[in-house]
Amino acid sequence: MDKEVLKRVYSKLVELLGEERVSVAIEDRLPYSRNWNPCTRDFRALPDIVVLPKSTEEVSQVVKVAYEYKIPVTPRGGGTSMSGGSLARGGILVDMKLMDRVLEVDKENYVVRVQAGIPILRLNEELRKYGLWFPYDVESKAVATVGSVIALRSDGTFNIRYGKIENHLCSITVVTGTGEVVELGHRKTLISTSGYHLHWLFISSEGTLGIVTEAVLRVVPAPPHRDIVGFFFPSFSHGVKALVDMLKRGVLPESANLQCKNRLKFYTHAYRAKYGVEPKVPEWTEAVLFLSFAGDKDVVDFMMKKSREIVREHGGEPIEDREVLEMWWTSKHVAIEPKELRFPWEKPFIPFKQKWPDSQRTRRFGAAGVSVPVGKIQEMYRKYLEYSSKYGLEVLGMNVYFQHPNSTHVSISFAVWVGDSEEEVRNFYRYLKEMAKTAVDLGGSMSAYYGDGEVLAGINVYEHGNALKYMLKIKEVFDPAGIMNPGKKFGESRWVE
Amino acid sequence: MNLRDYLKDLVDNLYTCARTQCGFCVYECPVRRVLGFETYSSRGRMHLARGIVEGNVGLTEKLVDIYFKCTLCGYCEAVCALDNTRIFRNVRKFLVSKNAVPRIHREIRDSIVSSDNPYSAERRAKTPVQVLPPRKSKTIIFLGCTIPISRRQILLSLKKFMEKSGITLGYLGPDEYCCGLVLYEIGFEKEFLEQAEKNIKSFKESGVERIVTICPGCYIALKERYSEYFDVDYEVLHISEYLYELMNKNKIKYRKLSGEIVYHDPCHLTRHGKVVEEPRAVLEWLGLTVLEAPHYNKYYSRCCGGSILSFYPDLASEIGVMRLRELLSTGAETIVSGCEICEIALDKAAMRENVFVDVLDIVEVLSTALS
Ligand SMILES: Cc1cc2nc3c(=O)[nH]c(=O)nc-3n(C[C@H](O)[C@H](O)[C@H](O)COP(=O)(O)OP(=O)(O)OC[C@H]3O[C@@H](n4cnc5c(N)ncnc54)[C@H](O)[C@@H]3O)c2cc1C
Ligand code: SF4
Ligand code: SF4
Repeated sequence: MDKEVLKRVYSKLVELLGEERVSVAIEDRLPYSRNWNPCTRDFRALPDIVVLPKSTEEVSQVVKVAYEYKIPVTPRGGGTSMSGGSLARGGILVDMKLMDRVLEVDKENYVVRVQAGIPILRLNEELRKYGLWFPYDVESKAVATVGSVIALRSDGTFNIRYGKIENHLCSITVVTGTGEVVELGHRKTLISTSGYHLHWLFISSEGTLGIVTEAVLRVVPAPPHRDIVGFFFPSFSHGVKALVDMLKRGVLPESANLQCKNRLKFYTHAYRAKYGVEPKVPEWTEAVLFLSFAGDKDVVDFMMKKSREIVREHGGEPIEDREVLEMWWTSKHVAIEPKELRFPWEKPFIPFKQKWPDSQRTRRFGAAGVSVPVGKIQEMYRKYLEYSSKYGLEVLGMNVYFQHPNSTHVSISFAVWVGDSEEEVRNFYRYLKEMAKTAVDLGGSMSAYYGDGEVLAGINVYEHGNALKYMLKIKEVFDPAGIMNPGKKFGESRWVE
Repeated sequence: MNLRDYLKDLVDNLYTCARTQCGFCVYECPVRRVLGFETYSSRGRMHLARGIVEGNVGLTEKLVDIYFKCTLCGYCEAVCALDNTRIFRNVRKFLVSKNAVPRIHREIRDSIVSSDNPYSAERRAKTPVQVLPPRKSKTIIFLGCTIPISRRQILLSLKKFMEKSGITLGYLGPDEYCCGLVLYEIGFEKEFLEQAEKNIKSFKESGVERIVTICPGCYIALKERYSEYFDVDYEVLHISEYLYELMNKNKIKYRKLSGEIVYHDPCHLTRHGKVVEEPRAVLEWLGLTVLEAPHYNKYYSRCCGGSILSFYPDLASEIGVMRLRELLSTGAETIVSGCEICEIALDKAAMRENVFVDVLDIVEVLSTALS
């Protein structure tokens, strides 16, 4: 940014927020220079200014300044985006994490109003005081914010029962690209046929239309009991058929994950940390299905029993080692959950041994997160093996997340190990591109839970064709100066050739 | 030497974090919670350390401020798998080597070097021989600086404990020196080693085999830090471990207490020292119901700001107030801890919030059960 402009913008922002909440210092900008998408050792994307607003009004004032000077604004929650979505391209980075207040808990109506910078875990700590739960369980919940899961339509562990964010989002307050504050959606209800449902446009919008500052979310009473089961299957198709059959027969899980043997290893970190060995998996296994059920104990027990019966009819076998199940659950869901948010059998990870850093000491987790119709999982899996081998990337494993209430619409993470070198990073994005296109060819979508970000920007025309033109028009309505999170969704990918 | 020379193998940790970016450490970092910028969280400091190693960040006043404002509470470490605080300490050591240290930190070093305590108090103030006459024994109490200077009620309780229980610990008096942990944490390695040598010599000369500390800082220094540099053959126990042992052997006669208290885990004792259950067991033994701070207790306890109280009182006070509120949310009217510095910090927070709450050390609680 031009030095003179920067100076003026800085002093205006300081006038609004005070010196303590505005910074141009490199020391304050560098910590925001990365996301979780694979990159080389020396990669950094720097904002010119970082601001820390505390209210909708302050966000609005900040965006008004940006609008006046036509400079980029990048909203940021926890910064764990897998598509470079919260990487700034200069301009103002808005760290939302001081907007972390719960504004209203409406117990009678099972809705809460929150500021959008609150991390999911923090929200649930607060809700537990009222016996309530926001069942949106991203594994990064310690820092991933409500605003981000709206902006991305992230995946959650319990979405086969509760669904993605659209099933929770009653209304939002947003600051558009001109700094105007608008309420979108329908106050405290999910149900309306009035007007256009503009709040839905902000789902997966990745900050390109404006900044979500507050949200009214439906929440649920915390379940009284939970239990888990797991099954080995000779193929993914066997596992899927068993699940379809369960849903048909009224066996309704709270969470469902279908994964390959390799991916299982990633989720048995806690088991290995405890026993020093891998859990036993039968030779013939291709797929492993984990389910959890929640409700009254007798209901849960019945569902568990019934699920075992159904699985047997479909050629699967239950996992008998309770430790494998519990340790898997620790890796997938419990991790950092404080005691107050756990059932007695749910174990947290061993302190000082958290799985993510521990598993990425030499290479990192890199994933193509796509969706395909459920009948195409097996085929997509074959392509995954083919492309990863083509680009010399070691397979880390596949996990199918069931993300739609009581149905088998899925989001799939096809993960590989990626090193830090330029060549490896480039190969990862080549792999990602092929996976993205194949998913579309198979009737799915190239992005299932991390948006387009900077990674799929430009590539996504393959999925949307001339619809992209209409999307741009919508963007212009909310963001006439094109300052809201530029480089995301539209334009050229910074990463994929 | 550059930072790489100080970090050695730990440089890999910086790149592991750069790959991971999981952010588990970010939101809850007490300093970030007050100052807002991610800069002040572990992830932020990891980024900056990488920046220094790669030559993208200069040794500015701001950078110095960022590293010294870390309370070294170690919350980040408990939710990570890396050596976070060891990295931050090494960055400080590097900054010290470049003379990039805030003035107050240098003043405190000078105070330890010249008066053997970080508070610029007279040396005789920290050897309260009139209350606790020096006495040779294989098992000694190591008082440290803070208790005799600023938390004398603990000293009186200790004296009472010894009188009533008939269990007498030795005490080195003027031959006990500041443990030097503050120097270690700031990065004044040379001065730290001087303190360590003086103490180790005293221990050897007095034939000390077991050392009991009340201050978790002294506990960590004597137990973990000295042995990083020297061969030491004494055993170190925190007072809670010592009492736990005595109670197990039925060596203390006491009157059962009743009521509820909330226990605050000192970071140095719990996260760095891994002493978690003993303090609780002792308090329960005494008949008290031990309440836990909701969500944040044991390894995930939150910092009270005590470790930076002398350096950044305003920041420490904000952190202290946040912790106080959590502890009070249990409904308890008494807070018990196992660290005199935490107790001072929480007392100050209570004063600032204008709430009336007893903040006691385990030793003080014990002494009331002995009357
Ligand atoms: C260890 C780990 C585990 C993960 N597990 C999961 C998982 O289980 N499921 C899953 O889906 N993903 C997962 N992810 C990816 C990532 O954590 C999620 O996408 C998460 O929702 C991102 O949240 P964040 O706050 O970190 O987002 P950020 O990176 O801060 O932002 C993401 C996007 O949202 C935009 N944004 C942020 N706040 C706002 C706002 N208030 N208004 C408008 N736009 C905004 C940003 O500009 C950006 O485009 C994981 C990542 C890591 C590192
Ligand atoms: S928890 Fe560890 S690996 Fe994760 S961001 Fe923090 S320091 Fe980095
Ligand atoms: S040690 Fe404590 S203050 Fe320092 S970075 Fe870690 S959590 Fe923050």
